Amino acid sequence: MDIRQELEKRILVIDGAMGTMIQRYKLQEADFRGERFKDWPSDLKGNNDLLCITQPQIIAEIHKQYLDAGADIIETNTFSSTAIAMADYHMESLAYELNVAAVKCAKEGIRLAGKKAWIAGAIGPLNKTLSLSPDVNNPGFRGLTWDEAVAAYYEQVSGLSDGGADLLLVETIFDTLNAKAAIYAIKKYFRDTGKPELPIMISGTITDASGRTLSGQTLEAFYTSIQHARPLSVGLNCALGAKEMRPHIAELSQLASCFVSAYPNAGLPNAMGEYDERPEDTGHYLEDWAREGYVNIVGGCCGTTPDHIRHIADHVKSIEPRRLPVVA
Amino acid sequence: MMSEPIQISPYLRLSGLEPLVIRPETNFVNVGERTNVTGSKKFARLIRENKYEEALSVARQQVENGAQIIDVNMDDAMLDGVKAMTTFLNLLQSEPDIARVPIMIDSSKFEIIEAGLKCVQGKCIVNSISMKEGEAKFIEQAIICQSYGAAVVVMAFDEAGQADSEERKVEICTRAYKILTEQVGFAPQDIIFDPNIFAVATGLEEHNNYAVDFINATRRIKETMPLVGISGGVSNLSFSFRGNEPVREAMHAVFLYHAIKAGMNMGIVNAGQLVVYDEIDPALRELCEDVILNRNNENNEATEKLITFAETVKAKDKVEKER
Repeated sequence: MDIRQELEKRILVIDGAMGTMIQRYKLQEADFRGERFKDWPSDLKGNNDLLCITQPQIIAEIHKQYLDAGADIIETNTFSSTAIAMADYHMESLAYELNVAAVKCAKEGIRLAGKKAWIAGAIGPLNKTLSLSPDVNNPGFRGLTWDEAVAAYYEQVSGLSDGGADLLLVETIFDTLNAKAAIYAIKKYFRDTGKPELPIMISGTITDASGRTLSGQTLEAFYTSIQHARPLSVGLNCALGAKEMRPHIAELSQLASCFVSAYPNAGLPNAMGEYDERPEDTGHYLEDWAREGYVNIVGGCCGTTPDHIRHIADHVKSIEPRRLPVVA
Repeated sequence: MMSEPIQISPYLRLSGLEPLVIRPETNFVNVGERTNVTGSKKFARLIRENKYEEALSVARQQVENGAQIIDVNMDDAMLDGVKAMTTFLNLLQSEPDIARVPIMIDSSKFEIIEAGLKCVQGKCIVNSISMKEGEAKFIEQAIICQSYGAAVVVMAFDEAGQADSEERKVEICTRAYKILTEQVGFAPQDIIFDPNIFAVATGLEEHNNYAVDFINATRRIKETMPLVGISGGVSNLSFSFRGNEPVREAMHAVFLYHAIKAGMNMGIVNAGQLVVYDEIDPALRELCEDVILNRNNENNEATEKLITFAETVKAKDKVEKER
């Protein structure tokens, strides 16, 4: 099934939050460790990506729930599956294996759900940034080099590709230079291996009402900076709820020559740090975007659940997708 | 029920923290030249002495004076160019009032260019690549620029040397265009040609037609490759008048007046110092016209007249300074 052809016909639905769903299982340290890492020297609770190896049935079950709710695209549980992000758990050497295992979980979820879907290999922003100094007294300092970021992303891409992902999703981009390193690594990987390049989805994060990324770019500057990826889609996710994200998606839908995606959080966090937007409300917001012709792919980020995805899918299913602009 | 699809035009789109879209109707784009160690003694000294804070103020001044892009060049035998480029660009990223404009990463050494590309989140311009070392090297460097998402300045330079005549300029640019768009997959609007601005009025007659060659080549390149940009280092033109700023600025203004009409749409200039064509002393302007358009210039006649005139300007300048 060619995703481009399908995107011309209808709005596709991408799944909701993985972390929110994992929390529901109330897993303990021992669950994260499983048998294989029972003697690992550092704490592993909270290393959600590790569950692809230690509790693959849980991850596959979450994928199945999203597919049952109407998701057409599911994201692998690999947001932090790079040697750089895994350093927090001294698990740098597991990065490749985590990515392969995560695609396997996604495939198992698809088998359980008994429907066709695309697996998007999720490539997170790293926990270090290339454009910003971690030291306020030394603005020229960087905690990471470009070459290190490229090497980490390259390894992640090789795991996702070898595992059998259908798409690559560079998401939650706070710092466009990190995303450029990911794009560079993707292009290099496919050049080096001679494999056909997987379609790339790019999703940035506008952090607040300033309308800029954390690294200071306006939305148009961000889009201009990543256009060379020739992405399948460009969009926004995280940080904002649908209500706050709306003007930015409206703007992006006018700028982007590719398909447009949007998967906001379930509102803004409440005083307890929880997301409490009701699934029907999220569904209504996204239906409005669809009617305005802003979007081709919709779904949810932090705080969204299979219930949110079900409402979103129901609300957008009969609405025509945004038409691709004519470049001339 | 849905309206007509949106139309997106193939313009050169660059970015710093903010976008810069260069449309056909966009006025001439000023690329600030003072953050260049080969062109600014002050900037070179600041970098050599590790005074990066002060060096940043040179960049800031350019932006304040209207530079829409800043050219950064660290090609100096006394410097570790890779390190200087990296340090300067990393520092620059934390200054939003400067980082808002796109960067032109300028070097004759490709490793310095690549070091710069690794530091900048926005869409940059690489200045420059060429076929000087053959097609294979040219393609390799173009692919690297493309994988960082940069636009490129392509110098009219091939295996046989730098193009000086109109024919050679057009021929090399056309060949480079074909390679970039057909083999590398470059978008035409991401290509900017630098058909080489050389010094005129040097006293050598074979230099007299250089500005005309540039202007005519520009016109022909834009006719056959309408989406590309045309740029150049304007101060080269008046090299033989160095030390005489009033004459140099007049020459630049007259040259740009004609080159822009032919299709030149950006240039590396001292953003604070551009003079307006209509405000040049008419006598000086007429002499510059003759020299630049190579008119009434049999036996260097126009050149001689401008040199004679320049001496009076210089003398006047000196008197004023001494006051």
